[in-house]
Amino acid sequence: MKEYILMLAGVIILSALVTCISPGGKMGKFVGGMTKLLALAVLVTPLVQIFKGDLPELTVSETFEDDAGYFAACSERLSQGDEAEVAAYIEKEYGLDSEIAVTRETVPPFSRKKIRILLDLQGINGTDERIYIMTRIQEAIQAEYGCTAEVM
Amino acid sequence: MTRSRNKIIICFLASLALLLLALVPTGAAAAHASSPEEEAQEQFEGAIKDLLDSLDTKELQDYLDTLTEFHGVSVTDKLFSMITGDASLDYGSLLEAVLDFVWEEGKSMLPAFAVILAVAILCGVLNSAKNGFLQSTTSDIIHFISYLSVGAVVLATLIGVLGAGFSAITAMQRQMEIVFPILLTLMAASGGTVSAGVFRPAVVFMSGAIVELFTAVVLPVSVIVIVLSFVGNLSESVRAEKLGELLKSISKWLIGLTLGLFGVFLTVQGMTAAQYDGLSLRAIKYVVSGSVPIVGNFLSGGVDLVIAGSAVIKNAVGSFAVFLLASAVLRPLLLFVAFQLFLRICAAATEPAGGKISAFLSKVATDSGYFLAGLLCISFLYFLTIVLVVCSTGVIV
Repeated sequence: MKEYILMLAGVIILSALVTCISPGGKMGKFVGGMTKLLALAVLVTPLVQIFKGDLPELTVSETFEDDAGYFAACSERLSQGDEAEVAAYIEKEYGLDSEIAVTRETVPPFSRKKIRILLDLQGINGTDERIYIMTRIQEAIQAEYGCTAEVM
Repeated sequence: MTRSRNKIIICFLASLALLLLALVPTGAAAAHASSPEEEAQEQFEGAIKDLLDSLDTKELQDYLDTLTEFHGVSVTDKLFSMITGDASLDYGSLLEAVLDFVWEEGKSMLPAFAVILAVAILCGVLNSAKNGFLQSTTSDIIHFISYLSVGAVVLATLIGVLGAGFSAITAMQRQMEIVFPILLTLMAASGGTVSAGVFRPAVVFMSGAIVELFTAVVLPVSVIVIVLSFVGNLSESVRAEKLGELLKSISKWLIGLTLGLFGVFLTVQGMTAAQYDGLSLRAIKYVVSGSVPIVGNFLSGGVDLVIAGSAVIKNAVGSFAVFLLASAVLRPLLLFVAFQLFLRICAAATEPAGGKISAFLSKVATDSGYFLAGLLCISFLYFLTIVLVVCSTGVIV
């Protein structure tokens, strides 16, 4: 584009100068006509390039990547919140201590994938009762959170 | 009797004083009464700080370090101060800086003004001599050279102004490439997943194809229009007025179509996507808080902390991006204002001298507006996109 502008300006300035200093009569008219043709040829140069297919590239090749580290931090924070809430729920409902591990997706909307619950069943005697409590907790957590719950 | 009565009164007043002291809250008690709000505020600010630290702002920080106005500024600290409301804009000093800049640029153009005025006066004197003792051809040559001299001075000044304009567009493109990934990340994290999916191709298209269209076609066409204004008046035999009109028309159509089509499309799509995101998130919050009998409210609160935190940071990043945009566009904008003012003043001052110089100066002042329009179009589209991204998730929380 810069070359085109310089070429155009140069040709027109040259033609104007030549017109000024050219002699009168038929020679002067001939010179004037030739300078006009030259200016016209320079003016239509971009059209020739367009017909040849030499267009500026307007296609989009790159894309914007998300910040995976930030998504991971959000997922981690949400998981920590879930763990505290589930632990509080189990303690309030069943009076049991527990260790919770919640796994969420690392991309929005950070859906829950799995909840792992390690119960402290020291105060509960009897295998049947323990199994009953674990099953109830598992069903309740699965129903409320909508993801797989593993109770150990 | 009187003594015992006095004792009773004293005892009664003492008990009343003790009772009043017990009821009126002390400083510590008063502080304790407001601490839940303060604790919540501190917890929220702590969450914001953690989220800010986990956000990748290295590229933005590197870009800021290249700018003299923002050298030494920490992105994270600046964003946090904007969120907490500690950052403020001094409008008085900003206006003063703008006026100083325009005045300085105007003063730097004074030598060029003096040259143009001197040449125009000389041209006017020779014009009157053409009818006297000078031959017509010699007078035409002198007129031609004086017109070239004025054109050279004006174009030399114009090159500096155009260079600032092209630099501003390059800076804006760089800013788009840095800021938009951050904004889209925060938008997705704040619940605007659909909106992020809608805006992603749009901002990529804008920072790539649209900027390329303007830098490759629209702005060079406006430069050609200015050049044709100059060379078209050089010779009576070679005229380029109609070509200039054609190029101006092409420039106007491209600017109008880009603004109209892209702007409207982006606005409508962004709003509909934001509505969908808002309804989805409200449904999630309703299900969560409505179904869990005991901890439902805690659950939805935990989700809110990340979503609200991301939304708040997104708004702060958007505001900061607008400041960066203003810093990139303000200087060339003021340069153009000063340049057009300079040309108009020159045209007014040289009009009494006669000749083509005054008309040329006035025409260049008008035609340089097309370049300014192209620059402002890109900056407006960038600003519009930032505003849409910032406001699109406003319907959610």
